[in-house]
Amino acid sequence: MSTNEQNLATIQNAFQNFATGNIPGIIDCCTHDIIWDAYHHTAVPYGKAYNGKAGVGEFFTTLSNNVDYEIFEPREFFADNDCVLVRGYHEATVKSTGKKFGHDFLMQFRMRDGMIYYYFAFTDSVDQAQAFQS
Amino acid sequence: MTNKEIIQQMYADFGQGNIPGILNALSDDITWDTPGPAIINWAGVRNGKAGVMDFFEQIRSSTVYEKFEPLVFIEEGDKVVAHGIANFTTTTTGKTGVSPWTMLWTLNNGKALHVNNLWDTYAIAETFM
Repeated sequence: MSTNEQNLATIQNAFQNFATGNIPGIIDCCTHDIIWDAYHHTAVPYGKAYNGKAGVGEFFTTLSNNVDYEIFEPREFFADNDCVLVRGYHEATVKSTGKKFGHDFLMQFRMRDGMIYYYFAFTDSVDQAQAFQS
Repeated sequence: MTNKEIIQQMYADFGQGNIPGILNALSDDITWDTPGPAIINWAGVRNGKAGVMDFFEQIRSSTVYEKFEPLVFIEEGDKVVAHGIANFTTTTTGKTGVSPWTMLWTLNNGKALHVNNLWDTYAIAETFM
């Protein structure tokens, strides 16, 4: 397999792990110095940068404590050298408000030696923040 | 030119303020989709080259980019993803902001048919308030 194919397979496997709730499987694919980031906003509890494998674990705990996903669909994967981009759609209900958000996302993964060392989620931050505000 | 080169040229054109160069790379039935709340005057869905000209007119009337830097281009078949970062001032309020962005382009016969622009809509909306 080429590097692109290997990176793509790693990321597709990570999405499969998310779908089945296997968060340790995702953390296994991250480097020790991973930066796990998104658009920052104070209204969204997980809208901040997390560092290291422990940080990634904290991200997923915070996510599952705060939202119920109804739809989480990766639809297209793009791989080029150390970069994998995933475009998709997600829809969820915020537990504290009962409000929904739903929009396209694009997730960027940077890879080193087959492991994720950087992640950034491009989401509609207004849509998400409004769902957290009562 | 490859699809990636066509898209890269559009960002070079944007950097030089060459909007006609961008329009020339678009299909007549381009869909220009920029999700975001109405307070961001350049957000929304626009159709056709006239719609895209309106988009750039709205940008011009409200926003100055101190930095607009594409960092990554990836081509896959008829799709090209561009990712970068922008530092900007919303001139109507004087507030500054920073947003990483991604744009997913779909091309047909060497012309851009659809683009989906993803920005930090929350951070940008705040600069309009």
